[in-house]
Amino acid sequence: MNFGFVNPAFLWGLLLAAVPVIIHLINKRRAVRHEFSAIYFVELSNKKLSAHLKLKQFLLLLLRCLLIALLALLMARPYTQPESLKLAGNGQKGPTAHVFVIDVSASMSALLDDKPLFNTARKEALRILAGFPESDSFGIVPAGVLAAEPFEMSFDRGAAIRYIEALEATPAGDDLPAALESADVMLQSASQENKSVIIIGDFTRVGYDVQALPWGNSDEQPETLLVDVRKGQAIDNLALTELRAERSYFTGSADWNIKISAVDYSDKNVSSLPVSVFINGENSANGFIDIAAGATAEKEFIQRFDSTGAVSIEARIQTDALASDNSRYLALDISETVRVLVVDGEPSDTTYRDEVFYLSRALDPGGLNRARLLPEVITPDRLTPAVLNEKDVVFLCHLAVMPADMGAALSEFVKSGGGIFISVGKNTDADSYNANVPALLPGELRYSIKAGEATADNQAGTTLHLAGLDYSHPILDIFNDENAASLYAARINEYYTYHPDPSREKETILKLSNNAPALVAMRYGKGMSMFYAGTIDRDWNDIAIQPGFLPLIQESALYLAGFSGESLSPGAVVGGNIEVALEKSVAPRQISTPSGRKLAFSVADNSAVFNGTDETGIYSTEMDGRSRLFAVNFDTRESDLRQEEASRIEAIFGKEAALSALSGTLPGQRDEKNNELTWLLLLIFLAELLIIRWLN
Amino acid sequence: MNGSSHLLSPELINRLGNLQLKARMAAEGAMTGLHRSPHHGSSIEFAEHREYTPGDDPRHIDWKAFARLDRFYIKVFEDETNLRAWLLLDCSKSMAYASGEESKFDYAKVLAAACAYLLLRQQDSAGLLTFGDTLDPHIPPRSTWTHFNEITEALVRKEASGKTDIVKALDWLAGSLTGRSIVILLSDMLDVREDVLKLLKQIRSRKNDVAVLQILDPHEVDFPFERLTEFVDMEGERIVFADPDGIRAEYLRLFSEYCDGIGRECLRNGMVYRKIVTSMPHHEALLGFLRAREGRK
Repeated sequence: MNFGFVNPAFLWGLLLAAVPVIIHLINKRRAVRHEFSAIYFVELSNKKLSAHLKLKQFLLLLLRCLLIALLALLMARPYTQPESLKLAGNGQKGPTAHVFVIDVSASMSALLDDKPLFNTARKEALRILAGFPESDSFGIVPAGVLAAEPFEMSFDRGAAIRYIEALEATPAGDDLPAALESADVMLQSASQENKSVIIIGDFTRVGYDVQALPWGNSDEQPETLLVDVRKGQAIDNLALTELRAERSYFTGSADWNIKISAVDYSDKNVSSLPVSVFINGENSANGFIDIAAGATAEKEFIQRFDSTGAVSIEARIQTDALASDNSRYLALDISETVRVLVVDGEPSDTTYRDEVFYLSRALDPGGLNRARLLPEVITPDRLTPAVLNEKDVVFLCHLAVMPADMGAALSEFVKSGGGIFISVGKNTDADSYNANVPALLPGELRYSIKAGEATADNQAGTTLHLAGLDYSHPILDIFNDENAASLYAARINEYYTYHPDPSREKETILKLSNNAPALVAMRYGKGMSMFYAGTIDRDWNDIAIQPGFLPLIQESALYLAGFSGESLSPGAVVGGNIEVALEKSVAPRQISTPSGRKLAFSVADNSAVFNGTDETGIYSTEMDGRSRLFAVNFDTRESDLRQEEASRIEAIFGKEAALSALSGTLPGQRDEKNNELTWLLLLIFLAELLIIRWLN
Repeated sequence: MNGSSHLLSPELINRLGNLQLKARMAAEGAMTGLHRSPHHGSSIEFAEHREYTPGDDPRHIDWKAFARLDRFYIKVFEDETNLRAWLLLDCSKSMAYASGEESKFDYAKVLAAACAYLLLRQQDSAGLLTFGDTLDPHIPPRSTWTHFNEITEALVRKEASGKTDIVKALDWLAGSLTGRSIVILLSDMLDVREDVLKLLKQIRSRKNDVAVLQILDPHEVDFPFERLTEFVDMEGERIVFADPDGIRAEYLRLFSEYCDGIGRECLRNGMVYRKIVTSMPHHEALLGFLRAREGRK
């Protein structure tokens, strides 16, 4: 640690500290001589007060001397200065090539003492640059996903200054490894023997965990100077890290659960943090959330969407040091209403024994008519080709015989874009199905097998379960091991077999523990059919009474209608790409950014890609005459502003460089002590006033 | 003019004239302000009360006594044509202190001369004793008018010098007094020995009237000094280096307590005490003294 003065000439002012003593001595010499009559009383008074008086006068004299000395020190501007690295460019080793690596990631937008960190970074870069001799050359590499083009090695100091002055922090994440690679390439191209890298940033633990430096540990590695713009100071940050929407299967598929995750990146608990949800820019819900220090907390709102089409959702918390991560966006595409025809093949007067008792309730929970799915239940005698009109999906539940004319009508219905779900039962006439709707089946239907029977297809001969759900399938992507547990727990006592048709392309959505297919989907024409190898009621299994049955049936209906998987619009992290599949659609031409700029998509093969996401928010475009929205969110890695451990920095960049980063003071920066001196000065001044008051 | 006048220098004569003029002005001014008395021009001293009997002059009824006792009492007066007064003037060096134009000593001289004037005009006899640390030859009390000149001439000649020794003067006086006398002490009373008050009480106890006129300079009373000062003792060699601002409060407290103490003791023992600051006009000082004396009666 060095100690010095900015204006050492003012130290001569210290001599003035002797002035009060001199004045005191002169006053004493110049004391008035006065013949006085009542000297007895003067002497008596003087004796009584003398001891106190002398002490106070001495203190006063001392304070006045200190006051003048401090004033002189204040004007001399004392400072402490950490031992700075002896950078090669300090003129000690001759001409040097320097590369500045400046962090431009989103975390550099965080405020410290009400100033963005990047302002400090820019200022420090300019200050360090100004300290290098004319013979040195400079390169500048901004580090970040959305970083501008680097400033190539140059002796043009003015251009380097202009480049730094124009630099801004970006809203995207950091990319230090790539920046260091660029710096290494620049240094290799430099002709000077001496080389240095100056890394200016916030040294967060996420962004600076570089596995290996491009120049390794060779003797030719450049000197490294780390400049911590935060001086080691902590910055508390609250961030919204996730915003997702899920259908509320149990209250009706028009309802959605809006789930928000917030993280407290500080060591203090946060209670009653206000959270707001905005739908299409309108505030629709408000709540509070408690987050433990360093932990994540979730908040859930139920939102009903009565209209269809694209919806933008924004979750918001109050602004803090890093404002960018206090909002999170989601785009939702609310599908059209799906009209479902349910054919009840085994009606019953006892409602719960009715074949479609559970199915109809799964499609429209509670009969509240709030579902996006609108089921209509009919008996087989009312099933005519005409009833298929204006229906999107048909559930054929344990229809005993498939009439020829109806088979043809159903095949045509699917071929032209409809969806059919076929379940079987003890009365199913396999032959009529095989004969009349072969295109809608995964193969030739054969017979049913009881779980307890040891047959060629059921070797085990025990109770069966569902097994190995493929969560990547659009129908099952809402499930995970936890919420699918009820499906796994279901018992299957009997199931139907078929002879697979290898020529047909099939998706096995559910299978049994003996690997027999339980739910299979097949495309036919523009539509899709699904074969469910069991009863949809409780006759052969108890899947219908499992909680997982509701989402399974609703997602199946939506899948058959061609909507499943399209509800959540594709989004991106800022700096990433928005990609739209163009299977059936005409490529969009332009996209509007959240700030209203109109930019172009680039179209390739079967997709349109937009790679200019440089701000967070909702981007919008028109496709097939409909509005499409895309959410672009903040890179949550940038929200974690906690700094990297000193030991880790030391391990990555070397001991000497690490010291300069974590000393709390920028290397070479003078830490002036004027504040401390000013306070001391005021304190002494107050003490002097008190003593003067005391003397009087 | 008496026989000693030929020894007076023109300057002394001038000073004598001034002193006499000042003394007369002070005396006349004081008398004008006094608004009394039924015994104007005669020297009468109250002796005792006697019960009223028919034939007594009703002008002599003591109405205050009647108010208190509901009985008529006649004031009996004693003719004091031969009343003797001693003027004791402190001539120590401290009396020469003057913050303004007039020193305490000059002021005291005027008061002494004025008292002599009043006494002689009432056909009482007045004597003068000046003292410092030694006793000067005294002027015995006489009642002739020319005696006024003798007293004032002695006053004019006298210069302040030496230390204060009131005790010595009072001691001499206590041994010299015969019959009832009035003793008027004009001094700054900076002789802080307890014997001073003891001797005053002793003189008083012999039925003499005692009046203490403490003559002080405004600077002694207010202590207005500001700069660091070397205070030099006027009567000795003591030098005290002091910050007046620092000690002012304590000085004023001590000095005030001292003066109040003298006043209290005098009043307790039936003596008249007046603290006179030289900034006060002479006649007012004299009037205050006369009123105090009258009030004591």
